[in-house]
Amino acid sequence: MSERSDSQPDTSNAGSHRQLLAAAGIGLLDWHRDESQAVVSEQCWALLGERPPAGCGWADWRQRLVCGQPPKPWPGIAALAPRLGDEPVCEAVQALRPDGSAVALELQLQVTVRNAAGEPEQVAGLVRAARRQIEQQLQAERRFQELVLATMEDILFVKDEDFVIVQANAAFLALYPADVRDTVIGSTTLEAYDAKQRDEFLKEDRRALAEGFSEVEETIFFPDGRQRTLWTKKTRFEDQSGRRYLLGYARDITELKEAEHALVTANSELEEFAYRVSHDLRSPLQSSVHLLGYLEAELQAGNVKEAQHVLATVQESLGGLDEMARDVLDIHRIRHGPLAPEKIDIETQVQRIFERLRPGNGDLVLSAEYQLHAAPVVDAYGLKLVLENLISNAIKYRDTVLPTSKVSVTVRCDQRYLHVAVEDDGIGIPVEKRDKLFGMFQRFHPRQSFGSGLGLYMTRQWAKRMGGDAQVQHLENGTRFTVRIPQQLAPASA
Amino acid sequence: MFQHILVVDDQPADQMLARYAIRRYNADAVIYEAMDGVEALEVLKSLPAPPDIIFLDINMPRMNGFEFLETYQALEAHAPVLVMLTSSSQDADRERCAAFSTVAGYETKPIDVEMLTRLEPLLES
Repeated sequence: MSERSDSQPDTSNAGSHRQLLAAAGIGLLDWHRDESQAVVSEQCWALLGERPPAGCGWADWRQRLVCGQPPKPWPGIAALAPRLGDEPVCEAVQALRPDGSAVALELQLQVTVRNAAGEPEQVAGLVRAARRQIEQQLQAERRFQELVLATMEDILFVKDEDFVIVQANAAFLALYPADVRDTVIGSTTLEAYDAKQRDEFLKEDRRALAEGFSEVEETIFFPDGRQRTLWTKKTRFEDQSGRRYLLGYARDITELKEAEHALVTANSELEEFAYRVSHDLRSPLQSSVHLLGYLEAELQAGNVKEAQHVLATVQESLGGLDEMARDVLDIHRIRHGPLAPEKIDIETQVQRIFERLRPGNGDLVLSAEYQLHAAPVVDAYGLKLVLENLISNAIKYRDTVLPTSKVSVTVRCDQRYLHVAVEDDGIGIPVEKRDKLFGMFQRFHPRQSFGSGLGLYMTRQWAKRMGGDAQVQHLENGTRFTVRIPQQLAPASA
Repeated sequence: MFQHILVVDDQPADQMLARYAIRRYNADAVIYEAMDGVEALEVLKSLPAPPDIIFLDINMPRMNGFEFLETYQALEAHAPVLVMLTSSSQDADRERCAAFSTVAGYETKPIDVEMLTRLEPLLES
């Protein structure tokens, strides 16, 4: 075998064979008994990760070879002569690199010319990285790949052209109930989703297969009952045989979307708040200033009765302003102020509110029922506000057509929560306004009350801050509000 | 001169101011009062003919000014509606009201005699 230069394009058959061998990682050796004539191909050096020295010398190359454990210098082809026959013989060796590391090689040797004594005169050989080493390398790479796939929280999957999942990482499999996870690979899993979602998945899959790429933000109801929002990208690729696949990558952006939604809501609430506060604070002040002008005129004209009427209207108007200012401060305190966990005597608190708000004419029956094992420990200020709001609403919006109205308060504790319910048989909330009930500045009954319209908003905000919620039930005759909050507020959350 | 005037406002103070101004403008004028959109529609339904003019507040409970305009626009007989703003800077409210052809203009509270006199050309339309 003679050495060829790589500087010119090699168009001969030998050149093509050489390129094929190089691509396959196979080196060639041509050994002569007179070792000065023996040569190795460039690929033999490439297997060591080196460029060949001038002449691709056999002697330099074979000096790198060792064998056995502990490694000893390789005895060479002449020493192998008794083993060499007409059939190829395999020899496992190690080649040392200049940095001290070793590469396992496999030599496949075959006698091509024998002398008169029958001894090998020339030997041809193939040199390649030992299969075991390649396998070990592949295994190590596969293990690393699996580690990356298992560790990443993002979802990764591969689908074939029939939309069958052929590969998926742990995050993808975790989307399915544990008992069906081992059936996910090898199936489309489409049957686990409703028709609308199925169509959406397939639409994106087909788009990615046709166009090479698709990207979508999708809210998915998963088989385990969870609803998540994913940002999903699908990229088409082909394997060696030209079969097309989709590599799917998805990131769970549910929390991000929730935070975005909360931010948008907070922002629009803030805008509404600024608008309403500027309007509702200014309006009564403006009206009162003008009315005081009329009051003065009435007094000067000696119309005392009319003057008293104007004065009462101004007082009512400014009283409303005061109430709104108090509510705005309370909302701030309830949302952002410090919490003071306190053992509450809720029975006394409800009774005091009853006494204060009970109208004098006796057409209202106020009742309360308690099922408490121990005094709840809650934020006292917030609870007082909420109780006052709910009970005063129930009293304000009673149905005055009825000879007697009823407002009942029920308080009970379970292991975790304190449940407070306030039920009335009053005029209820107009159907078309019910969805806005817990919003800011919501008033539904123009003649019954001139409150700020912040009471129920405040109630729900407080309950949510406590880790609970406020709900409403619209009854056939009346309304029932329920507030649920943890019955033991931990001092740490204060 | 306006003879039949509907004032839609949930604030008793604003209603009282309107009454004072209208009585000074025309002692014989008939004033109809409504505390929100629902009451305004009821009043309008009870009248044999539309009033000469409607003064409409925006922020009201139950049915606010916008919601009233939506229903009122669909009715057959119309009176010109003056949208009453608390301040002259309520651009968003003006924009929302611009969609309703029955809205004849915007005024800043409170109603006064000069305003009523100035609006009289609306009687001719």
